[in-house]
Amino acid sequence: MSGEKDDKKVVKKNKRTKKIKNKLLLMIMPTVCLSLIILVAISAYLTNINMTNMAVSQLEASVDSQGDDIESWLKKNLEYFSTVKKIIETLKPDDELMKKIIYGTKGMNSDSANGMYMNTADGKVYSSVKKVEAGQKLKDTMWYKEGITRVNMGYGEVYNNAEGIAIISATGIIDDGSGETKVIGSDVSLNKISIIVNSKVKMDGAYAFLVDKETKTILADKDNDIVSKNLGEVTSNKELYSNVSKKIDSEDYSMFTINNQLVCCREISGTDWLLVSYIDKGIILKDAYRMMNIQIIVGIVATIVIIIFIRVVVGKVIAPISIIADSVTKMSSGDFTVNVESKSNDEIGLMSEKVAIFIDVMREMINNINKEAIKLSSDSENSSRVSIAMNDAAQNQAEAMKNLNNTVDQLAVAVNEIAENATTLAMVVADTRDNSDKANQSMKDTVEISKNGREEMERLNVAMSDIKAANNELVKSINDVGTASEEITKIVGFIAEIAEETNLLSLNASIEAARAGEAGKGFAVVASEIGNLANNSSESAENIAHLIEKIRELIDKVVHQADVSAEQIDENSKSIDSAVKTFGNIYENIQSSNTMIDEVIRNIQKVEEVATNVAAISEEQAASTDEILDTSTNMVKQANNITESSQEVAVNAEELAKTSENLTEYVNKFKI
Amino acid sequence: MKTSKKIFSLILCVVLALSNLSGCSLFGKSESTSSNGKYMLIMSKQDTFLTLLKEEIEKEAKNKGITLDFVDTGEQVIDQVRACKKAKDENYKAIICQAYDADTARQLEIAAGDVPIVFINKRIDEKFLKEDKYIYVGSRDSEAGKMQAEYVYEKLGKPSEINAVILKGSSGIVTEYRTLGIKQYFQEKNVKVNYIFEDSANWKTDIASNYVQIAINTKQKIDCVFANNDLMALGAVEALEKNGYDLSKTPVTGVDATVEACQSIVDGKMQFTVLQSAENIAKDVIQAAVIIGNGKSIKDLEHNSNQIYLFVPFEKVDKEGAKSRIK
Repeated sequence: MSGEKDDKKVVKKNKRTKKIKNKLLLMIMPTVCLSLIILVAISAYLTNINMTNMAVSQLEASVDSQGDDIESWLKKNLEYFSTVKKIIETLKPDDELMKKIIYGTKGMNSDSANGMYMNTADGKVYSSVKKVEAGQKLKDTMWYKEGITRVNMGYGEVYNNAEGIAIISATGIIDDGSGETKVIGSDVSLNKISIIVNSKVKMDGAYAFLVDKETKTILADKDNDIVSKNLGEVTSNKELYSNVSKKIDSEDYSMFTINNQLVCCREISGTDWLLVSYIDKGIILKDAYRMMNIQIIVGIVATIVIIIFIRVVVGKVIAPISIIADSVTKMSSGDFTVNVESKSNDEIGLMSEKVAIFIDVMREMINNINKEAIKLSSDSENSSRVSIAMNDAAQNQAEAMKNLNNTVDQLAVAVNEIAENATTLAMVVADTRDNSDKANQSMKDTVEISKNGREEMERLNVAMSDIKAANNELVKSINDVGTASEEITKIVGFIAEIAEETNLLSLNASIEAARAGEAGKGFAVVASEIGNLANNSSESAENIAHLIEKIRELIDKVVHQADVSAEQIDENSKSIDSAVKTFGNIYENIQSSNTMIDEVIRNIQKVEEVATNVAAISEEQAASTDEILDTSTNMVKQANNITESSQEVAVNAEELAKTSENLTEYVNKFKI
Repeated sequence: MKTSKKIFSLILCVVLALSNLSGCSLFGKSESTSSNGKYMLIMSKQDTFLTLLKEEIEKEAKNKGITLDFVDTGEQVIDQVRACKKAKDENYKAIICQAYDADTARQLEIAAGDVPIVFINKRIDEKFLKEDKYIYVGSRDSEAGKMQAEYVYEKLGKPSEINAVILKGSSGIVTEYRTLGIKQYFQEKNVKVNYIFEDSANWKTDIASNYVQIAINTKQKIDCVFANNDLMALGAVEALEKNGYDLSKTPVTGVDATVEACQSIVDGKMQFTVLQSAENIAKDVIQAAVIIGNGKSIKDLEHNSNQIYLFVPFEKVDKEGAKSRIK
């Protein structure tokens, strides 16, 4: 069974070993190819751009150079002609000399073989060549028409001369102050221009042509057939020519590309001409492509070489690895009885060496692991037990804490109540104090009042005494009156007696008077009058005696009243005395009350303090109980945590036990 | 250990490379910090317009509080080159230069080194100009030609055919564009123009006068005369007058609006000119000189075109305009 397994593994292993080679190749190859392709592509692109830029510069330089050539050629000839003109203007020659000069120019300038010519407005002609055709008027010739528009010589439009050669005429008015219009001119053929345009292109593969911007006629071109044709009439390379036409219209002479051709333009100053030079991009890029091709070939060759090289090298390197692979395979199935030899001193040799060390280490390690596994088993059992104990303890703690919590809750409630009550008490006490303060105040007022009352009473007493005294005085006075009246009575008595006696007298007197007869009538009258008087007196005396009786009665009454008053006064005095005493008592009572109330107030204050303290303390207590509550809640939580943790520990311990079992199982798999 | 050595040597290399580069002063203009703060004005020739331009430039320089040294090099290219070299050696901030020969622009630029140049009057070919370094301040010459053509067209009653004389300046861009402006205008208006005489009178009155006389001698019909500048226009006026032409029917137009030209217009001789405002050009010149002298860009200026030109617009000057100018 295991043998089969081993065989399968060996086969697999061989397959695997082979695969490394291929894998490496497969990984390296695309990268290498890709990099090569990118390299080639980039360099090709850059080359393309560079070569195009260079080509453009070269083309521009070429066209500039050609343009310069044309311009300088034109200028050279113009100057030559202008010199002759200047000489004529300075010399102001006569007819003979003029002829000599003009005809003398023939053949001197290779570009203007026929020399110069001059025609005047009034018909004089100095010319080696016929410049006015038969039937043509001077003023209708183009060269003349152009000539009279300037003094300084300048070129005109291209036209064909009598021989059909394309020429341009340089013409101008002679400024000799004569007032006559004389036009001097000279012809140059475009042959030289053509040569410059066609043969003097300074860039391989480039071509040029010359076109008149005004008439859009082609003045020079490598294809002779299209010379003198209009731009629009060209059939071959049509797009180029028609585009040039458009450029002329828009006066845009910058470089452009058309139909895969680079085109540069250059205006020829002093004329209406445009020099156009173009080159096929393909030519420019030919070199670029060639280089690209070379690079591609080199790339391919390099790729092939790399492939072969990799195969060989990898093969060589892999060989020792397969041996190691064998050993490792055995190790993977738990057989650490293998031995690995290290032969080379490169990485692979190093690997072999290390693998050998590894095997030794592994053997020892497995031994140790085994031992450890056993230890682990017992440890896990311990762990389990401990965790259970912990769990219990924690639960108990939690319970206890809960109880504590409840107790504390209750305590808190009680304390709160106390606090409330104390607060209430304090309030009540405060009220009471207010009231007792008020009472105190009232007391004091009352004391004052009672003091006043007593004083009043005393004054009253004194007043009573006075009254009594006064009463006594009155009684005394009345008694005095009584005595006086008694005296009066006595007196009255006397009076009465007197009166009686008087009466008697009067009678006597009357008698005598009677006796005295007539002498005595007066006396009789007097006597009768005395007798009347005496009667009156005795009447009065009786009245007085009555009155005095009445007075005596009244006096008695008064005395009686006075006695009654005195009694009443005495009684009042007694009452007052008792009132005074009572007031005195009240006063003393009030005093003592006052002092008592002061004490009460003090006591109330004490109570208030106590009550406030109690309130404060009980609040503190409440706070403390809150804290206790928090703390105990915390502790409950902690206890719960411990419970959880211990449960985890228990679980871990279980797992640990399982692990150690597994470990032991695995370890037993290894053969050492 | 190995990696730190590698890093160290790499840093060293980078430092060396950078110091090399800075030595080559690829990093900005160090000149501006060591400049002497002065500007140089080089002029090669004088005519009425150029004298006016010089005055305006110097006035504007004074207004802006910049020191402007004037160098009259005459018509010698070598003197101009020397002046530019001096500007470089003495660290001038910028040069304002009227080149005698527009083709020598490259030489002048090389001689000036890093000192920027504002070219005036003589128009320099675009290939010699460089953004914010070598610039040309002037006017769009084609605009001048266009204004002249427009005036004449209107004046002659919008004819369909005109016989014109064009008196050109010396060969160059200014001449080319002023002439082109005239021709383009008529092309646009579909007017058939016979340029019965078209030649360069080298900006000079006497040559212009002579040439117009010669043109008259050819007995061609002349409807109008365009001159690329006022001096030549005045020459044309002279010649036409001498030959009995009615100048109001044969308008002569010039460019520059010089005092003489304006007087001529007021007198009914010349009919039209175009003002190249020396004042406005001078303003732009000084402004540009200060800007590029400090290494900044002219791209935000009103008359900027591609950062190499400042085109100050021309102004038409007809009889009314001429009157007010003479006052």
